[in-house]
Amino acid sequence: MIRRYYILKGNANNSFRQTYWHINYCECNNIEPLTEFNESKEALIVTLDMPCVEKEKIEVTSEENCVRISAPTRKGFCFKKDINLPFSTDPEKVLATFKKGILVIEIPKKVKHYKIEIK
Amino acid sequence: MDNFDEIAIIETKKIDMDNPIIIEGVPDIGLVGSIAVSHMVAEQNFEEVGYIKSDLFPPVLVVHGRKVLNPVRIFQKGKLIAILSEIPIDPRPGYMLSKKLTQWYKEKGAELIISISGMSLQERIDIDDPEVFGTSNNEEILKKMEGSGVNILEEGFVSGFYALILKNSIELNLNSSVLLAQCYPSYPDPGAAASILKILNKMTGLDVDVKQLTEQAEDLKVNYRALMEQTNASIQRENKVDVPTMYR
Repeated sequence: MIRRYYILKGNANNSFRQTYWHINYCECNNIEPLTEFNESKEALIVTLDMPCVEKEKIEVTSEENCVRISAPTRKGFCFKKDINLPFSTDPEKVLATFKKGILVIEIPKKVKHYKIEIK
Repeated sequence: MDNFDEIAIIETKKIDMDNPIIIEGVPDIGLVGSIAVSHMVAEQNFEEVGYIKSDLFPPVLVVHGRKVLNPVRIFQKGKLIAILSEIPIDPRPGYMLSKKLTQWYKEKGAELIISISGMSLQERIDIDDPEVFGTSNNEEILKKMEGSGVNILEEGFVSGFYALILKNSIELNLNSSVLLAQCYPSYPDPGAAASILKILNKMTGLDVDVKQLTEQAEDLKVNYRALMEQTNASIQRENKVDVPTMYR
């Protein structure tokens, strides 16, 4: 079971922007990044908002039916997200780019239907 | 109790001025309004002069500088009044709050209402300086907005809480405008808030420094993450008409 609680920083000089909407930490100190999905016939495009992360420290691993993302932040917690795919993909064809704190992952759908040549 | 009376505007300090300009920042797409107004009141040392209470709001209080505060508060500096909400406003309280606020604006003899929001753009990641679009129910205000660098909406839609503010303003004969900065559809966007503040500086004579917003954008995005998550859920509950972003 994941325990959730809020952490409030005790610095009296902090303003709203620095103190109020704090990360909803779970006991493993991981949080899910804000995520958007855009699906086409050929691929699923996933964008994840991952501020305060260095590109070099992001880990994206792909299996046929799952893509896992994890990245430590300089704020002391990790972004972590498992995307369970309702389709199969070729893990080696998954593409990821990171720009302006946003990770974009393109997950191509495995072609399942072939036209069979009749001999 | 009448539903309309379930929302109360409490003035903790006397707000007495002629023809104030109202600036509204309520959590919405990209949290553009919340981030912009929060930065503006902090950077320009606005004074807190009141708050809005309602049993329809979620049971949330905020703590700033060891003080327990209401999440929807009113600030003032000179002729400017800022409304800042730190909670998403759901549809039902939204209808009532918009009515209550516009009636209060009328009583105060508001010269202009400026509602700040975002215009979601899938290609936002490729844009360095988001453009600001806007609309108003007054032709003179539209010209002023255009002169300040706002792209005036020729065709399109305004939806959500600010649409209600604009609608009530038309009924009460108040001058109302909406500023919309290009922003990420589901992520907090301090860059879009900075674009809005640059326009507001021109429209109101303020001199808000937006450097902090751009330099600390990543930190702000982390701090605003939870509010964005709640706001996205609230926007879904709103069950808005899926309107195309039609403008030219």
